Amino acid sequence: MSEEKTEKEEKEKRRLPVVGQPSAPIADAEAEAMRRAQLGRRAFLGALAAAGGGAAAIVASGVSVPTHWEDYFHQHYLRLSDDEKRVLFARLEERSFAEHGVRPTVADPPPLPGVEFAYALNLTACTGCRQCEHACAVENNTSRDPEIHYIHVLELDAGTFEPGPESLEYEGTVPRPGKVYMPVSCQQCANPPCVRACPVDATWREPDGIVVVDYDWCIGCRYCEAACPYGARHFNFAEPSIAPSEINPDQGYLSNRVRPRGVMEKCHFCLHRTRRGQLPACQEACPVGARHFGNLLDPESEVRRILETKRVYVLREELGTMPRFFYFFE
Amino acid sequence: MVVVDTWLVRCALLASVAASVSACAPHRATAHELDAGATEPRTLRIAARTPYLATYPCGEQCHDARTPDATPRALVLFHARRRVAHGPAIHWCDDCHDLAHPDTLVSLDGETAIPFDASDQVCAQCHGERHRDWELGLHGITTGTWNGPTERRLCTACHDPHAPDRIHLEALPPPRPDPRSPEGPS
Repeated sequence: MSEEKTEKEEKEKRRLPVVGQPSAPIADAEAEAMRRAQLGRRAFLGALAAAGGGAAAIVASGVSVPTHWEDYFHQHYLRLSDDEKRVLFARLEERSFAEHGVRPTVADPPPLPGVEFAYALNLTACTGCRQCEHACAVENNTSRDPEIHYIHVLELDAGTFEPGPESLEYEGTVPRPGKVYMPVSCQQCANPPCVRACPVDATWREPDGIVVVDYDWCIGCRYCEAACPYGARHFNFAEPSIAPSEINPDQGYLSNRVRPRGVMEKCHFCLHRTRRGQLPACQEACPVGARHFGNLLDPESEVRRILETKRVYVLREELGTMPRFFYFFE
Repeated sequence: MVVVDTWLVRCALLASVAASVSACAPHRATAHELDAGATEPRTLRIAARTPYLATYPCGEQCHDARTPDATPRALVLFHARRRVAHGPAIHWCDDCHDLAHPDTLVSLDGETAIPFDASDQVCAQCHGERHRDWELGLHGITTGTWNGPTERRLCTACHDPHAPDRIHLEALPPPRPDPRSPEGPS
């Protein structure tokens, strides 16, 4: 077999299934997947289902959407070898360049030993300006239309903690008299209900306390969204839209890489920054210093001092989720 | 009584001598921090304030040529928009400013000169509890890293010392989520 022919075959295999065309590329890809991964019968049927489901979705939507075939056949993040990660990350970088014209750096900084991250937020200081919310969106490449924000700032009547339907809608100069502001994002629970709800282990709690999502493993069933008592998980109903000039090229595989459609996402304590010693984007954006981030296991850290000396509370303590996000008053 | 002999003030004095931000490292890396992936030990420096003061140095720019006058009166020129509305304890400039040496602040008893880059010591005379929180990093803005070098801003970077009030900001717009999401319009 000549080299040229092999190359042509390879190209043929990588061709994406397109509506109205013979399904040969799909069959080829199935065969390739079987050969390469040496899947058993069960996994093979799973792969077939994935292929059929993908094709059905394309037919149903009536448009040709870019389907990334390889995404269905790489392993769960936790089972990837370093070599496989290198190939996968390079592919994601290439794809981003092809689709958005931006070549990012996709990495996966590992959790640091002896670290459990925690957040403390000063409710006396927070003015509800939403700077954190928007800085988070910029840092984390979340969809701009429709908008996905990891942080939601609730405007509450002073003395109560009962959010109403219009708590998120306030505008104008803040703080308004008689109001307090409470930013709510993922509470990074030590006992996370979302992780238990996931039927495919696409979300888990890392050793440093961050609950992460493998976007390529997520099947988009939204069980975790229903299980989360804090409304912290967000679903990509549409293909995330971001202007190429606004894409942050410093990306993490488990954090802020541009998500595909149909997957869940949530706050991840900016792990691509914090695992390198930097502070989360929301902390840096806060103009009033209401946000404090650090290592819960370090007795000298700010968060530990806050826990030891302030009136601290957690959201919905009675649910036993054990958040690693603490609110305090001065 | 003002406690001026803290390492904070020494740092700030160093800073004013060097005419730059101070770089003081009174902290040795503990085994714990090095475990925690830190490449540099935890250090704290206090961001200098004087580069942000438009009229500093006050003496050089105007006050060397003027006779100090501690009489409360309507303020003119650069201070025309100044409003002294800082609680019952502060009545006039000389409560905190050293009229004889306009480039420094002074303690309430008038005996200890305090540089502008350590102005937290002036505030600490009344706001001791808040100042302790600030020293520990529980109040105020700290930037840098969580496990290595950090930088902290002085009280006056956020609070106008002449008329302190909670800052008011224009809120950025609320998100427009997908109508199908639980946060979307119902």
